[in-house]
Amino acid sequence: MTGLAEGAAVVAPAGSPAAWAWLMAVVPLVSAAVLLLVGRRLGRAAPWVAILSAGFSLTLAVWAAVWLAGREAAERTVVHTVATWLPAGELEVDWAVLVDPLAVAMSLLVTGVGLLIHVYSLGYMEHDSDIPRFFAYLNLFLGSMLVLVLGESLLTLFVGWELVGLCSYLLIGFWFDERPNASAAKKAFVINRVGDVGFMIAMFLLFGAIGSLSLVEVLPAAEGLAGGTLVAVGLLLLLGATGKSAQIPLFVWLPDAMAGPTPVSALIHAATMVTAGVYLIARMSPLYVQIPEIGLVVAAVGAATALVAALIAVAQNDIKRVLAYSTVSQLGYMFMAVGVGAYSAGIFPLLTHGFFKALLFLAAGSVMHAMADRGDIREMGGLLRDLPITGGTAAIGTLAIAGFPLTAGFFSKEEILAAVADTAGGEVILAIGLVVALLTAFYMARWFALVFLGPRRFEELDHPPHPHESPLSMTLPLVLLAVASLGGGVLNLDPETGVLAGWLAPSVVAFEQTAAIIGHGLLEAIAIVLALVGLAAGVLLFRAGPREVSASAAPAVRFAQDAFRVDELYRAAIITPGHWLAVGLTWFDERGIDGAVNGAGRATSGLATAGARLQTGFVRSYALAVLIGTVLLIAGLVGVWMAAGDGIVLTGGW
Amino acid sequence: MADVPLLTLLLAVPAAVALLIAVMPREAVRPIRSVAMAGSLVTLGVAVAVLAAFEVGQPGFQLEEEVAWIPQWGISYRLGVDGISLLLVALTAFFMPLVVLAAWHQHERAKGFFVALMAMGAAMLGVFLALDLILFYVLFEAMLVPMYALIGIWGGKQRRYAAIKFFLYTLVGGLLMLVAILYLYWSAGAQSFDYDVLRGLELTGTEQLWLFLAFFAAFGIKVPIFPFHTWLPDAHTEAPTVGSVILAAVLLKIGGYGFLRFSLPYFPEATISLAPWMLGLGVIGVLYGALVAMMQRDIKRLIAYSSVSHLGFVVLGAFALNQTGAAGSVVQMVNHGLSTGALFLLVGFLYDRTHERAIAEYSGIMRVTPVFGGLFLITAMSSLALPGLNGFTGEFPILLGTFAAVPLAGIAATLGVILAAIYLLWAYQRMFHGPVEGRAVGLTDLTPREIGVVAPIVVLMVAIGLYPGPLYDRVNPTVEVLVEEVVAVAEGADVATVDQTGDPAAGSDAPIELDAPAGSDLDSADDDDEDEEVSR
Repeated sequence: MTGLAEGAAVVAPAGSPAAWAWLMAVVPLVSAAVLLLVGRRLGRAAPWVAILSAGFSLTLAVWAAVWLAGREAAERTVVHTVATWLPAGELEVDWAVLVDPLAVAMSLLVTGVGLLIHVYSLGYMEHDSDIPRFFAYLNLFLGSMLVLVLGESLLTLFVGWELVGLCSYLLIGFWFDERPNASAAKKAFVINRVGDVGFMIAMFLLFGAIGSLSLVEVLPAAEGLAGGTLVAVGLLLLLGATGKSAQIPLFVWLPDAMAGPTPVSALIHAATMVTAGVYLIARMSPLYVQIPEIGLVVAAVGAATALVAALIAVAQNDIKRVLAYSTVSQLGYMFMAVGVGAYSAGIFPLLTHGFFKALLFLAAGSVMHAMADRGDIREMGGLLRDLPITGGTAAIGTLAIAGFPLTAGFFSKEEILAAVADTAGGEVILAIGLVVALLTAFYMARWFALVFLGPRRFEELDHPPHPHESPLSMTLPLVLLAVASLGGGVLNLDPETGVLAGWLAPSVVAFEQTAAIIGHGLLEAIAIVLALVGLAAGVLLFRAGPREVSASAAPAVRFAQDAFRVDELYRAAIITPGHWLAVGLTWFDERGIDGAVNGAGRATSGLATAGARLQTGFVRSYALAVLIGTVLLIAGLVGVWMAAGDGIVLTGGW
Repeated sequence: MADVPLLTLLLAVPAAVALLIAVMPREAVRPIRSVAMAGSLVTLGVAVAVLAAFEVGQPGFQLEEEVAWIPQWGISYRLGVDGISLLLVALTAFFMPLVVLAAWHQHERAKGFFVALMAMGAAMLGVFLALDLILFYVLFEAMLVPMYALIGIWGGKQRRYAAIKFFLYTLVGGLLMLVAILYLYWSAGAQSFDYDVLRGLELTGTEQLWLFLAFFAAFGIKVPIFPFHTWLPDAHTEAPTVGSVILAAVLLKIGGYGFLRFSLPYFPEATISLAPWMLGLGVIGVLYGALVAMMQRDIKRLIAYSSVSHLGFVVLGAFALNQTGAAGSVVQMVNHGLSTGALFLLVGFLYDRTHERAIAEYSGIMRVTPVFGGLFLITAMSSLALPGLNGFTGEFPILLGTFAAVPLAGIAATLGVILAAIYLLWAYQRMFHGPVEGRAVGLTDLTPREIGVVAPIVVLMVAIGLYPGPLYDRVNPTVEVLVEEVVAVAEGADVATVDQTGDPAAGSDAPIELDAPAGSDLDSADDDDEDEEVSR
């Protein structure tokens, strides 16, 4: 192992892209500020300002990647300090960037998909009255995400971490006139903050033990940490990750986040921001490698989330909610991979999922665009003919996410399953992973079939829409993402010798293989069969349209439709008690404390009458207090004077 | 530069302006407010000069001025700034022109209003600058009068109740502090009210405890610390906008300032033994304030309770007894001043238009007045300590320091960041999001004057959020000395009572710590001798 785990970071040479990498984040942030301040005056130019700054960041990211690739593997962890940020007492945090293979891989994803979605939004948001604000938020997000990815300190990473939460809040609530949207935005922010508390406490612990939050110092020191600290930090960071990446127990915000415009769902709530938790755990791999048992907890959380979300996805009828639960489920997959210490196997699907889930969301947006903003897939059908590009690319996305052989999703899924199969104690997780593979293929095939195949059910609606293919600004990103979804597998054809695995090696420390639950070849075969079965079943069952649910299955289906009623559970277990606590305390404040204060006031004034005479009572007591105060003051001063008599003598020097 | 008595000038300008306005004719509203504006701008200019003259890296008092006042009694007029007071002085001066501008259309008894405002400014600046305890006490009480007037005369419906409550609370706390100051002078044998002389006093544990509690009465009420906080929501709610702003931005800071300036260095043993209790009260403040804020129906009361929560952090930082916490505590005071001051200003602008403070009366403001809504959102984000804005730069070090001191307290207080998000964003959602309804209908957006009041604050929020270094560079040295002084006492006590364990660091520290009290003992013994001489 080289690189970060040993603290072998080099200072960025002047003029190198690493020394300029901070601009990758700063330029979109400045652009966002400009758009917020004068965006309306820019008119039609506003989106282009945003697109240009996104393009700038992508260019810089590519330059950094090329530059980094040209260096020795041991020299690929580069740090550049821009300025001192927070020198508070013993704490010292810099504005500094860490340019290493992991950061660069993430930057490429963020800026690449980011730019495509900026372009897509050009068409999608065409008729919105608030275009400058939308693009300002997109830029703000891009910059914040790059702060997260490039931050050299855990605290600067955390700055990006919270700022993307802000962008998520702003964009989910972009159409804030509708109360549910505003409510979903707040829910996302608050739930993320629950996770953030875990992140913060983990930083307190690390700072207490190591005296720094700089990754270059923290990661090499992880080896020497006490076992209890390691476990606590590992679990607390996991809590933070479950918030941002919508895992159990904090996943409930993501489905509601679909209230935001669809490009936002694609960029923030599918391809980039929600993968931050996976990134965090991969980033902290030198720490997790010390505590593989906690890694298994991470994997178990991922597996449970993957299964629950996949089951829920099967029963959803909203075109975006299916994808939302699918995202939660796929993120669970990634947690399984990073949990068992297969970091390249965790980052690989992060990238490929970024491609095909962004593609699926953008396709969904294109469909909704064509369907006059309708989202119920039971009312669609047969759209492949009207929307050939959207439908065709969506088909590729569906195959990729299902793990159809040779698509990007196929390779990334195989690698996760193989990694789990090599981990002692991974049997249950592996079994769940296989079940989820089947479910994924099934619900995505159902989704595709209901939207694009079969009869055109929307023609029977009251005001039937007249679907038409979207403009080039929307279809071009679809095509590019479809290419990536098909061919993205070349990034890592083999978990050991793949390009990505080699690339990430300096950044992450993989766990040792601890078991061989099942041969990889057999596993691969099983997964392929499951994917094909799921796809076939989904298409065959739903090609003709939505199906009646049998009476015996109805409660289960409704339970899944209601997302296992987790929201209701939290409402009953946390929100309602919390509400009553607040109500109780408020009552206590008004009646208890203030009651006592007023009572004391009345008692002092000797006027125990209530109501109108209350104020008179206070004037009296005020007068009384002033009187007492004056007397005390005079008494005190006289006392001082008497004492000071000696003082005069003293200073007189007798 | 060195010849100009900058600090005296800083007090004298607003005081002189107050006097000047007092002799101006009542009807001359325009000249009055112009004079007030000019005076506050000059004050700000002097404050900038003080900032420029302040030598970074020096822990002690700077720009000191001292004149014997009542030498018989050991009272002097002594002013000075250090890292703890400098930023609060700057904050006070920064807000003065803004509140004058905010009150630009104050026509009802304008003369008295601006006199009170200027007098308030002089007294507040004086409180932070005074290095003689009688001077401090006089100014501390002097602040009461204009504030009482601001609430009682220009306040809302319940103004008299709120004003008297405010007055009584502060007065009682102040009197207890006065008793403690006199005790220090008299019984503890200082024979002086000079800040440094009293800091060098050698007090027994019991004395420290009682004196600490007496000072706590003054400062704890000011902060305000639970359960002495109920004057604040009433005062905030009933005060006119600028009254609330001054209260939030500056006046409440005197509590936290007092702890750091007096309680910690004067009573280090009591501080150490009571620190767990203070941390407990801080945590209660953070969580209790936030939970009660959540349930408020009046936006001004909500912000008032958010102050209780945010100032709980200040208490935590001060009594974490480490540099990170204490430095964060000073910066948090500045940040709270900016964000809560701005919130009150914004709510004031809304109230000017609608005369309505009930959250439920509004819906969809953001759609009608995007500038107002945007500025409110940034300010709310600053208040809930979003990284990148100022609030975080104080809150995070405080939490870090608190966790280092008492992990459980740190964890509990960190939960406050969730609650802050809930109460602020919930209120924001109800008032600013949703369809345009209620009083939001027909609302006009901010005028250039109003934007001019809030914009400087927002600029500072962003600037401090991204680059708080200049603040910490000034705070750190002073706080470092302070914390070392307190901690040294604790370690000295430990060494005295507990057997020396093999820790070489503690061992090498030990003699030094033991020397200090011994030396002071000698000093006090000398005093005793002199007293004897005198009596002879």
